[in-house]
Amino acid sequence: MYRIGIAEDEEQALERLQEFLSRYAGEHSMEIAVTPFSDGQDLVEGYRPIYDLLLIDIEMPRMNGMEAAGKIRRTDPLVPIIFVTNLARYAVRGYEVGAIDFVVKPVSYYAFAMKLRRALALIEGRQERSLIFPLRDGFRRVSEGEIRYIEINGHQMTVHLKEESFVVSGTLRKIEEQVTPGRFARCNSCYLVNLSFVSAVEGDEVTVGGDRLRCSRPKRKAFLEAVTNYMGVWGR
Amino acid sequence: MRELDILTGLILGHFYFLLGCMLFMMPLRRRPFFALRAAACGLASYGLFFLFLTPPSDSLLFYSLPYIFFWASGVFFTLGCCECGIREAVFCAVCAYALQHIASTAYLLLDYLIWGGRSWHLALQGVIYGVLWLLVWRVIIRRAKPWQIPLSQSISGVMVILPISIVFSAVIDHAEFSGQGGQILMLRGYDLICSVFALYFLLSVQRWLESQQELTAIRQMWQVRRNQLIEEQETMRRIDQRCHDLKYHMQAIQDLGAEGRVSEKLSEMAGLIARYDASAQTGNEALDAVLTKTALTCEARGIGWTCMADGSGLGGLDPVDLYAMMGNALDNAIEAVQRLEDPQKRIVDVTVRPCGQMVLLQVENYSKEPEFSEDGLPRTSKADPNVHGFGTRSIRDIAESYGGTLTLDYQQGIFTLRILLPLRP
Repeated sequence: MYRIGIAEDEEQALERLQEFLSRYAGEHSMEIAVTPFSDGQDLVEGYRPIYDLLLIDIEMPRMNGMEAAGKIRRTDPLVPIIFVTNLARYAVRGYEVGAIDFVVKPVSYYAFAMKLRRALALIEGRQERSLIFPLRDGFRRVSEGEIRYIEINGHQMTVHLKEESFVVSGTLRKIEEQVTPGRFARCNSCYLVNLSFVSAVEGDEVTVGGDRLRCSRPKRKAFLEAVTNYMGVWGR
Repeated sequence: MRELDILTGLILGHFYFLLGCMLFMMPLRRRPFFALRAAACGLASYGLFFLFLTPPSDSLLFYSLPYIFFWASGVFFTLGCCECGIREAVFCAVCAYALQHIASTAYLLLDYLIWGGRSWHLALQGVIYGVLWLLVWRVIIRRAKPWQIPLSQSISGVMVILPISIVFSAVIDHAEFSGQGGQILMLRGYDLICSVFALYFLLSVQRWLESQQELTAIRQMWQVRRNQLIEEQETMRRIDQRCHDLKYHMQAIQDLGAEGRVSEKLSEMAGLIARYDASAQTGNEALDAVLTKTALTCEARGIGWTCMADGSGLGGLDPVDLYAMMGNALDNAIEAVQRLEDPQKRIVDVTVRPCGQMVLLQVENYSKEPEFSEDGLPRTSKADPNVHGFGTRSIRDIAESYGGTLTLDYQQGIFTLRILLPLRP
């Protein structure tokens, strides 16, 4: 069930968006709950981060969309925001408040559907799976989002988190089966990398959350493609 | 009786040779009345050949003459039947000669091995020729374009193929004559191997030369396209400049206290110019140019256009490369949406976004299902595949030259093109 908030002052435009959302939900068998707001002020007042997606009109009388987005970001840095606007020019500034996209009025269904599809892929990917690693004495539960990369050296497998690393036993293949598809990729037969931590690729080296790892020749192309697709869907 | 055998052998051998010539002639353009010509030239070539049959002598030159004229008659035959230059005729005759020599050597070898001597096995001969022709046809002729033979190829063909057969024949005849029969097997075997390799290399070099030509042609087309893109970029920059100048002047007029109708007119004009001011401001000039150009094109063709682009990290790229990559990608997207039946689906969306120390460029559009070919790139549906299909290939090449990559995806009716580029500091 997806909770979607719409901030739009024009009656007609609001109805249109709601209609499109229902149509999309119907075509893709999704359940949605839409909460409308008639102005930026209303959206921001008493805002709680319960939404999966926000559609915000930029041109609103009391508080415009950019301002509203800026305020919301302070308490909710993660919620995907799609701006609705009359003028495409303002769209580039959308990056400043972390908007993922925008649509231009009058909104057409197909343009809207394209953006919505992307937003939904992003939302789905946000679910982080937990992995359970058996240790010598007990086990340890880690969210996949905390893992930078996993390294295998002979039979020893080291899990590198943001601040620490620990050693476990196991195989990379088993881990690959457990994580969210598309989120991890191997740059080398001994490294399984969490793509959200990839910040640079230079020649044969990939920088993963501060550490530089070597890409093997045969795996490089496929790894780069995995990074590209990850960045395309979830990247930031 | 022996003479009759030899005569028949020669006539038959020549006949096979002419058939071989016709095999290698297949990629060439035939002259009118081909069948008639073939018959006439065939007979004439016999004339040429027999005219110069000389009795065996110790002089190598005299010894070689029949062989040379044998081959030359093939050149004459080819020229008579097809529209081609001397080089192509020489090449065909040389290949046919080699083939004929290979076949007859193989036959003699088998004859010697199985039946120990000179006897007639027409059926075996026919089979050997048949197999060889089939092999050559399947591997070479079927896929061959009309022969374009450079001088070096035709000369080396003659210089390699003819001497092999002449020398070996001379040596074998000498061995037979001086009674060293045992060596004949070895000599014939070696002759066969050499001739096969010689023909193989001749044809391989030809194929390689042809692919080089193709490559050169593609490179030239790409160069032309690149020049076009550079010009387009220049034009866009100038239009942009003019628009800014105009806006500045109009603002100046407004500031001077324009009122009423004048002011209205000015606002109207500003509105018109604003359309051209779909000018992107992404932080990178080349990106601005290609996005603005595409925005205008889309507007002219009624295609929906959305763009969210931060080009600030792209400074390390050669502007022409960037313009070419994005230009190609966007051209493809526009073509794809124009082919859609539902005009509402004609939408192109562009995102350019920094990710860490990399930049992601993405183009999304609705599209009909594309066919992907073996190299992972979509097959073009444009009439001239050489012009259009290589657009995606060139995007990939440019991306990879910067250490980046190109990915393509098609899901739920939407085609997504993504380019990832590591940034140069």
